[in-house]
Parts: sequence; structure tokens; C-alpha cells
Amino acid sequence: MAVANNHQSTTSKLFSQEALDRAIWFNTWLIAAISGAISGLALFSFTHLSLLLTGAQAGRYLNLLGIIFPGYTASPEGAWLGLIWGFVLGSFSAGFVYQTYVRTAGVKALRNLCLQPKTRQLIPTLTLMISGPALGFALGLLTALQLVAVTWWLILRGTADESYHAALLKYYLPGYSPSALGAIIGGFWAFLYAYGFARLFAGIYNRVARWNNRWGSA
Amino acid sequence: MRAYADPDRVLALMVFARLDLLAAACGAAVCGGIALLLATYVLLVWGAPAGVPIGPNLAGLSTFLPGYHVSWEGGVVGMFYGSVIAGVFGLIFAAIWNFTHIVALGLIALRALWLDQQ
Repeated sequence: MAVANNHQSTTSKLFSQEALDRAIWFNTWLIAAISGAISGLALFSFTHLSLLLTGAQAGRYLNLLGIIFPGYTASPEGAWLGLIWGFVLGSFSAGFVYQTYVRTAGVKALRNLCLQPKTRQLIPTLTLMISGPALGFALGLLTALQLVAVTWWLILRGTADESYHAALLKYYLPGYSPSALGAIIGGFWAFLYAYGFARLFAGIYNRVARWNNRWGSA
Repeated sequence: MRAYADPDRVLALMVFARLDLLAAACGAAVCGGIALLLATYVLLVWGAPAGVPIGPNLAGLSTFLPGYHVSWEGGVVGMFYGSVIAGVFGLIFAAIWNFTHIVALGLIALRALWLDQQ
């Protein structure tokens, strides 16, 4: 009875809450730093690449980012601001996605989403698999919120009526317009698209990961 | 996971679990390719009034993606570019994730060794 009780307590209470919170925040900081660095460097590089290839024409579209990133311009100086803004947006977005993902999937589900190594390792590591619904919800929510936030920012600035490029999004987001209601409708479509692509990514990732670790076990 | 009955060990293994590089690259590549393909074809389906070019903004990608244009054939070219670029980003992200986890694990192990010697 004591053994059965111990087994029951081990499986029903997986980890201490403090250890779990620390583990989640550790990975949150890590993914935020990685994504921020990639985003910032990507915007920095893209700005310089655009200047290299198109010269003075580089600002035709890139300068629109100055609406969201104050101070950013398609110029060598603006590229540095783009690096900083890209880092800030990338890190916040990734942190948000990870937190939402973990809390949506739940620790028990994530525990079962790991593949054991196929060979004996000096330092055993597991291979992550991904919860498609949780990732889809997290990315969908982020995309929708960002679209709504940017649209409402245009409205607050008083430039929504002149936002020709934003209005073109209606081709991809039926019913979207730079207005309060249009932002909500666009956010709905953005959520659907992001959810769909995230499910697709997770499905392919899990299949390939299983195949790649086929001599191990879950 | 039956070999890892200790909850703390299981949690540690989960925290430092690695991303599969090939899987991340494949997943990202498929998503990137389909995204650019659909982005092109949606505009072609919508069309434009006579005399107005279709997708002038999206056509700006041709500056960075030689051979891409807003057409049925160009969409396929865009799918190829989208796959390659997204696949590379997926691979880079997974590689950096795994590398930083290894570094963090090493630092934690070193700190534990140092504390043991205190």
C-alpha cells in the first residue's frame, strides 16, 4: 500500500511549483534572447541589403516601419535603431508565445512530448516535440493582437485614412480595414492563418523528429 | 519516460531538451514556401482593374528574390525562395536554441562543481 501510495504521489504531483516556474522562466528568457537577437539582426541586415540593392529607393517601403518603430529609417543610422527595435519586438513576442504555449499545453502534456535519445549518451538529452494546438493558439493570439495593436495605433495617430498599404491587407484578410471594427475582423483572420501555419509546422516537425529518432522511444 | 522516475531529473531533462534540427528546418521550409506561394496566388485570384498591375507591393520582392514576380510561374519561384529562407531560419533558430542550452547546462554544472568544492 505504501509503495502504491508513493507511486500515486509521484505521478499525480510531478514537480514542485517553484521548480516548474523557474524552469519555465529560464526557457522564456532564453527564447526571448534568441528571438530578439535574430529579429534585430535580421532587420539590421535587411535594411543594409535594401540600401545596397536599391539605394535611395530603399525607403519606399521600409520607411513605413518608422510608424511602428519610432526613429527607424532606411538608412545606415536607422539600421541601428532597427536592430534595437527588432530585438525588443522579437524578444517580447517570443516570450509571450512561449509563456502562452506552456500554459496552454500544460506540463503533463509537455512531459509526454519528448523523445528519448536513440543511443546512450554521456549527458542524456531529450528531443522536443511540439504541441500543435498550443503553438497554434499562442502564435495565433500573438499575430492577432499585433495586427489589432498596429491598426489601433494608426487610428490613434490619425493616419488610418491615409494608410494605403494597410488597407491593401484586405486582399489577405477579408473585411479588414484601418478602423476599429476592421482591426477586429482582421485579427480574426490573422489568428486563423497563424493557427493553421503553426499546426502545419508542428505536424511536420513532429513527424520528421519521430523519424529522425526512430530508434528511441517516447 | 519510465526510465526517469525522479521528477527533478525529468524536469531538468525537459528544460534542456533539444530541438531536432532537421525537423525544424523541414517544418519552417514547408510553411515558408506555402506562405509565399499562397500570398502570390491570392493576389492573382483577386485580380486588378484593367491597366493596374497586380500586387505592386509584393512585386517589390523581386529586388531580393531574382526571378520572382507576381504570376502563376513566379509563385512557384517564390515558393522555392520561401522554403529556402524559412528553412535556413528554422535551422538557425534550432541550432542556437540547442547551443545556448548546452552552454547553460555547462555553466550550471561548473557552478555545482565549484560549490561542492567550497
